[in-house]
Amino acid sequence: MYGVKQLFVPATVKEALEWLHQNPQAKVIAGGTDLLLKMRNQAMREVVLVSLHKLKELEGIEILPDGTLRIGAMVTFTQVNRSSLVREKLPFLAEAAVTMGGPQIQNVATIGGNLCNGAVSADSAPSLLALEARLVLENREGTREVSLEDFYLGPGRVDLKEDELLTAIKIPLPRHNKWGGYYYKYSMRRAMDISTLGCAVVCAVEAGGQVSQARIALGTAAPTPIRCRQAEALVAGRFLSPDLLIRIGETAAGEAKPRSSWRASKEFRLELIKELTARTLVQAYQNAGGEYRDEN
Amino acid sequence: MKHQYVGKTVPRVDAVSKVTGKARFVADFQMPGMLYGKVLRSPVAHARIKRIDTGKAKALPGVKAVITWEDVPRIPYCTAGHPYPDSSRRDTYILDNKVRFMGDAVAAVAAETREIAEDALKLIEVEYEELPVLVSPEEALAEGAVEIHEGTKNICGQHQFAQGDVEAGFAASDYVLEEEFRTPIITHCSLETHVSLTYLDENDRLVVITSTQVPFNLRRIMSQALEMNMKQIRVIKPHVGGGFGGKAEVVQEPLNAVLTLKTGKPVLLEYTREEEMVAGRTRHSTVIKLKTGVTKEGRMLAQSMKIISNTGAYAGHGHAVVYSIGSHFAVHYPVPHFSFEGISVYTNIPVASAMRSYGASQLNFAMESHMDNLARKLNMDPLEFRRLNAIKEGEKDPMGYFVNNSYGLAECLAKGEELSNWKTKRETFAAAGANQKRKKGIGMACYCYETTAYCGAEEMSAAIIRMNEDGTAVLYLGSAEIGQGNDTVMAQIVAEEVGIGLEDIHVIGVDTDVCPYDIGAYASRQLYMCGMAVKKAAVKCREMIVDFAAQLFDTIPANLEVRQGWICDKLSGNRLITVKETVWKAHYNMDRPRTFVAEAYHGAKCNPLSYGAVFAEVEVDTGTGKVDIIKLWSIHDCGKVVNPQLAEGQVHGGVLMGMGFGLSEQLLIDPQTGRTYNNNLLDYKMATMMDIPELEVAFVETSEPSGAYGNKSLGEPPCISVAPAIRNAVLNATGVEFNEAPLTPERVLLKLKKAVNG
Amino acid sequence: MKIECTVNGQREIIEIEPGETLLEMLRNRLGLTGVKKGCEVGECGACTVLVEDEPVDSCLYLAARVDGKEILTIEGLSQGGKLSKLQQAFIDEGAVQCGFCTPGFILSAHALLKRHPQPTEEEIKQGLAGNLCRCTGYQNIIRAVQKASNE
Repeated sequence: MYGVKQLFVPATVKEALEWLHQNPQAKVIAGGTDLLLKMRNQAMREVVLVSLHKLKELEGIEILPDGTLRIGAMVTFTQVNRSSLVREKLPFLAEAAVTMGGPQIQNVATIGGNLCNGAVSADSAPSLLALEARLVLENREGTREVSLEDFYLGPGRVDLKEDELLTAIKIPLPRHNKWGGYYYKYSMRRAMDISTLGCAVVCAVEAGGQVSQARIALGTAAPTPIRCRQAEALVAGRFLSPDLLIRIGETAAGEAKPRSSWRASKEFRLELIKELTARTLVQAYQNAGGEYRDEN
Repeated sequence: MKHQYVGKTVPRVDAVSKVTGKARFVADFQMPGMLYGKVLRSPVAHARIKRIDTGKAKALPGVKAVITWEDVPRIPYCTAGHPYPDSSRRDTYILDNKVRFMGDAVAAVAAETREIAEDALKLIEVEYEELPVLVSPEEALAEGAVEIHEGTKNICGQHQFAQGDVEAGFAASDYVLEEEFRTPIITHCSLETHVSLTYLDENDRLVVITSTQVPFNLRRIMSQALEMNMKQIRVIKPHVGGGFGGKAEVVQEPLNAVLTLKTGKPVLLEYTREEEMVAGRTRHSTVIKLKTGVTKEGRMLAQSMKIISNTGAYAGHGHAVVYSIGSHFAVHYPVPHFSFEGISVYTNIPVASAMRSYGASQLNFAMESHMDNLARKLNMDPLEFRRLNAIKEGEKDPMGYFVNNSYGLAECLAKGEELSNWKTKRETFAAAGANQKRKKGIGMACYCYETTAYCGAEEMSAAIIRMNEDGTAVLYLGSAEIGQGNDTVMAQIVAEEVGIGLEDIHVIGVDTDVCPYDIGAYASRQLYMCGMAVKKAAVKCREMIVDFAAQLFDTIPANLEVRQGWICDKLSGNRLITVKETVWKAHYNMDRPRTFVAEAYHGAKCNPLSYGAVFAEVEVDTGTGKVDIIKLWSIHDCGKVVNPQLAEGQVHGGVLMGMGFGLSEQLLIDPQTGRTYNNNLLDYKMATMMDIPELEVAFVETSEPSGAYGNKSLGEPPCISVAPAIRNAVLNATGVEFNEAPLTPERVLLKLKKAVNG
Repeated sequence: MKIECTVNGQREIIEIEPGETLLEMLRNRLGLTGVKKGCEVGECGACTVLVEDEPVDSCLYLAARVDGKEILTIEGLSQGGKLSKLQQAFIDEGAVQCGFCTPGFILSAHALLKRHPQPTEEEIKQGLAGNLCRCTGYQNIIRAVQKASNE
């Protein structure tokens, strides 16, 4: 039994926002797989919850008239994985979705909840950062949009006001005709694990084989998920080569600020950043149709 | 002899109830008026309790009892679930005025709901006088260290022995290698945590329904801890959701009993997963020093071993585990000169105790890693090096603990060599070159292991068979089914010997009110010990039935025999009457009515060695430190296999547990505060289905003369040699010696980088 | 609060607490003790039940959420006392040892087979990755699912 004093189940977003405005101390529960854990671990009592599970407006995946892909905040990881739209437009995001937890968690955990939770290890974050996703935040007064990068303020802290809801994630679809992405989750187990390091790369390739642009994002490598812009600059317009990959790994490691914890030392994480950034880039490049023979 | 049931795969007798969700585990029993127990756990690792105020907690509506050390009998007891006399120290009180690890029990509450009980815990005020926290054995053994248990100098136990002249042996050797190995704290991770339900029956006897491997030892220990005689206590073991040694111990039942005795009510005390990981039990972490002298031809002449075992805050099975390590040490690779020193040390960490293989996993990791390191220095094939030095057919245990009358080690090695394509892979992997980022390797390790607890502890099993009037039967067992298939193989034996069908047998195990004494499910002993008791009882039962049939047919029993459920004329083979009909006629008989109830017991006279080997093929990713297992071969001489599917199941589970020990599992403790970092199944890395390797299982079936059907142990052995086989494969792949388990990616990557960068 | 749902084909109207988990509702209010409690934090899968044919960890799922939904527990799997193919395959292949994780595994596998009647070994592993077992090493569980899928 969780220490819930009251559970409010709104039928519309409008109702939810109104209620949140009246009850700023309330906690918003989406899938609940993170929040309930926190409530248990901190033995929280007398919590007031507003549950979004009946809000149809927060469901669904669609292409908006402006060509961006909209994923409702209450879309589960399973739904992202199974969406034919996501599979067609962003296949790597569909794959990335099922690196998180196991099936039971993927069936319940939502993409919105994963982001609002602010965890540095959030499995959806690196891919969405590399895709330059934007978040739609609403309160009673209106709607605003922030980039995912700006949304993260610090460990466990996000730019979400007490009376606000994250209602959707908007992803500008890559326009380049040869592009590819990849999410490399490095964890101790192949399922049911948090990432020791997560790396996502979205990469576009010129007809001649040069990388026209790559966006590199890391999770669990700094107090928040980050972009590695110096490493990105290094690769733009270049052909992949072993030397370049080493430099990209080292540059990304220079941009990251991993810390030591009992889960992994800083030294270890830095080695992983070097290795995985390069590997993920190669994989994204290959997914974009680029040809690069990794001698390994 | 051809068997109808023994040696065959038959469905588990408890399978239907388990796949339909009907099988009842402790927490599935509900009783009217049942209360929920909760334990207040210490937030510090070492302290005296200066003051406890339970007033506010007691005043909370719905709270029925709050108990502290002042409310429990001041009787120290030994929690190890062994027979009398205790095999370990009596150092545990139901509750004490001192806490010795972070998570130790401080007080307990019984309340109407779990939530009320949890709230009540927060209202208990405790003032601690903190003491220095000793996490490592080095700290605990340091001069002047504070004593965790008074008068012990933090030594839970120590012993040593030697044969020959080990120093002379080293002097006579061409080469001497001395190394140190370390093994981590492992924990059992039974899917069902420790849980018990206690209540008073209509005669005010204490009934304990509990998830245990040792119902009778538990009753004995409780009777001493609570000063009650055994008649006053009834222990019932329903289905148990995994044990692996963690439930071969009295962990929480006496505390729960006190809650029931104080309130007069049924109390369910169910550990949360977080409690289980910290206040359950663990496998001892060890530091093992091995020193071996060899000739240049590779023959071992002398060996010494020194082991420091960290037993944590209480003894549990404590030094008994080190005794077991010592007993196995000298027999695997017998040498003329050897010495052993073992010490078990108290520290302020969770309690280490019995876990599957009872020390052999730690010993084997050190020994088998050491063997590969030695072979490498001698430039010998590690398999040949073992063949040269391992125990041979007919060779005696120099210490005399074990018998070697059924020997399959050489065949296990040969089978592994063949199945894994050892020779070719050793050559091709070595030739593959040093520049590859992903390096392949093949390695192996082998073991020998006990079949009973004899003669380290008292050994006994017993069984009762009662024929129902219609010729079906009830089998009463003291030996505990904990998932391994105990009840099924025992029923197979009854079916085989009595001549009735498997579906005709109902097994009751264990209820101490009706079942006969047995020391429990540990030491891989059940089929060997209880199997023999069941066989004896079943033969007795059959003889009684045949005896009655002889009267029916005016002949003598010697002329009759039982074949496939029929009593037959021995000479002609003619079927005379079914066993079942005979039993029916005996019960409903005007002239000579009789019943058939057979009891038998069995005590061990020797302890046969089982053998086995594990071969591992791996690929090491030198960029990420990950060790991928391409394939494992797990080969065992457990004597004759009584149920192939159950036997294979033991190997499957044991291998994965061994893999965890080798690669990913370890309970991590903050060296400063004694806090357990990873007290959950997310951060404690046992394998998921995605993590399993390809596995091939093979049996080398020798016939053990002292086993009921030629059988020996198999419960624990499959987990033993997996970690060192993997470790040796990594050595083969990378040329780097990892002398500490587990080989986590971090450990592997950083050491490989260091090896490259110098 | 009051919810209405279908459990193993039976319509139920149940009065629940707002903080109550689906696990607690099924075990304590409906007596469905085949739903096992292994960790209470979604890490072991022992409490797996199907909500609208999808496996969820009932320990980490508020009972309030099943309002209007269909739930299947292990008790609802065998129809008229006859074991399902999957249950029978678990027995035949020796996929059961202590049995504590078994109901969760069978339900995860049941959901998998409904979506993928002929799963590959990799799909079986992915589909059952959220259920932990310490006894079987998973080998025979995979065989059981394969056997049930082939029939």
